[in-house]
Amino acid sequence: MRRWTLVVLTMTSLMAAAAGEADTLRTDTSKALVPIEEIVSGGPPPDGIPAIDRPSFVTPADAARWIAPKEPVLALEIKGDARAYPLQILMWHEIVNDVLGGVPVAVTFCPLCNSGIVFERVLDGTTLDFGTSGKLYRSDLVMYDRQSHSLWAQIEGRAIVGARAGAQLKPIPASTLSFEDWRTMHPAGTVLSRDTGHSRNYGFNPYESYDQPQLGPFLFRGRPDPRRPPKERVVGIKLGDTARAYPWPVLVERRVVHDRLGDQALVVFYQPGTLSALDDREIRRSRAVGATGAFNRTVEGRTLTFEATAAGFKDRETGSTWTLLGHAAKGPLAGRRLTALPHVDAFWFAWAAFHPATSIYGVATDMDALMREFSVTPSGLKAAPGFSLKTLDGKTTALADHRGRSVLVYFWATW
Amino acid sequence: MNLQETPSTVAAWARERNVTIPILLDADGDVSRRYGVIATPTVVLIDRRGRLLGRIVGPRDWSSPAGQALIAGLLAAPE
Repeated sequence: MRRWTLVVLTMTSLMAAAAGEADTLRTDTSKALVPIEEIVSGGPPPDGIPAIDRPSFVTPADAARWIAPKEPVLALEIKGDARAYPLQILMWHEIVNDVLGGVPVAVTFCPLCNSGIVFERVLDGTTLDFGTSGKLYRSDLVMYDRQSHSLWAQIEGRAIVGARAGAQLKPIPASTLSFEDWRTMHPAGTVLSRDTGHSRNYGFNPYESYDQPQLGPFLFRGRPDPRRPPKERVVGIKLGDTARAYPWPVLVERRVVHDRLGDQALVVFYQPGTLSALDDREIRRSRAVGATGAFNRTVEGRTLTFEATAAGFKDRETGSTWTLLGHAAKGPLAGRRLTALPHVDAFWFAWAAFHPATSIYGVATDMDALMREFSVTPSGLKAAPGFSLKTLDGKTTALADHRGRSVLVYFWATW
Repeated sequence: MNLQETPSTVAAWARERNVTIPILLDADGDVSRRYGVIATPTVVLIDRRGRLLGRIVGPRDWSSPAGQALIAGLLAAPE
């Protein structure tokens, strides 16, 4: 046992030394917005999973030699500069400190939450760069900024411990979709190179079978929100204080969902084909799960309604065709763009852990799970005894009056 | 549904707490008996088709995440 511990210690120190970054973090733990004991070690030391600080890029034709057409990439475009970050690389690094269209960005992916999110990494005029802390908070990647060693929860983009506690990074809309779909939409774009300066098993998934919907999360304290299966994929959107989850099974069935959240009319697209990064040991052999996009659906003052086509999407108002990335390819609106909304494709448990008040779009709730959670004794669905009683304000109410509505009867007394 | 108290007692109690939801008066205790209520509070959940879903005996924190989720679930339940 003692020898085993020593081996582990030696390995972890080597990993930290190899990364050439902080082997211990100097985080000011006196400033913490969450219970510090809930931030747990995920195994590796700080920078044991090395962020990519000097990314290089290749052409889509070069990338096609090592990435399968349906493999997922996280796609980002700023000021006409389009880049794809393959999940087969992000899986092993979790953070890319990049500059795109002149904007410093952190391209992040947390495999345990299946969340690919991009942030602008400028705060009050200071450019930050990020590393992995080796810690997890509610199963989510905890990043640290190398300037203050504050700890940041990836899903929120918020500093939770340290000198910058409370600071919020601005999310930048980005989508995860298949390499070939991205390539068709951005033939002149570039792809993050496998030449990262690190030797990793790119193309392989160290979290084999992690995305089975019913399986519980790894290193998650407490119970996951019971409203949906823990690893069901959802599109999570937060506008102002309002958070809503769009479960992928609903999107798979409808392909297009129109909704209103806060003051925005929005549309969520779903397109089949893209492979999971967290299924088979080899990503190219994983099952297809699909890809999503979320947009404001008002273009030049006109609110559009969409339907899915064999190749993409079409608006009913003008008949223009649109891509998963919200670009009008043909028709009267050709060349126009929908305004992308920051959204995350994440596992339900992770979205709900950071947005406990989230509503869920379009699914019947699993009442059995909710009743178990609140210790309700099931009654076996026998017919409720009918009644008709006077109310305090002198009217009469019968149970039969409420047919078609859910009823909660609270038997009580003032004593 | 109030158990066998006088309307004036119930009205005073409700006024004091600004309770605005409908209060039914089970004046002779007949309905409570048929629902098998032997302690207060007892909560009975009935689905949209008039079937007994479940029962809770004793106080609960309805403002907790699980309580809020349950109420949201009842409201969102399909026909």
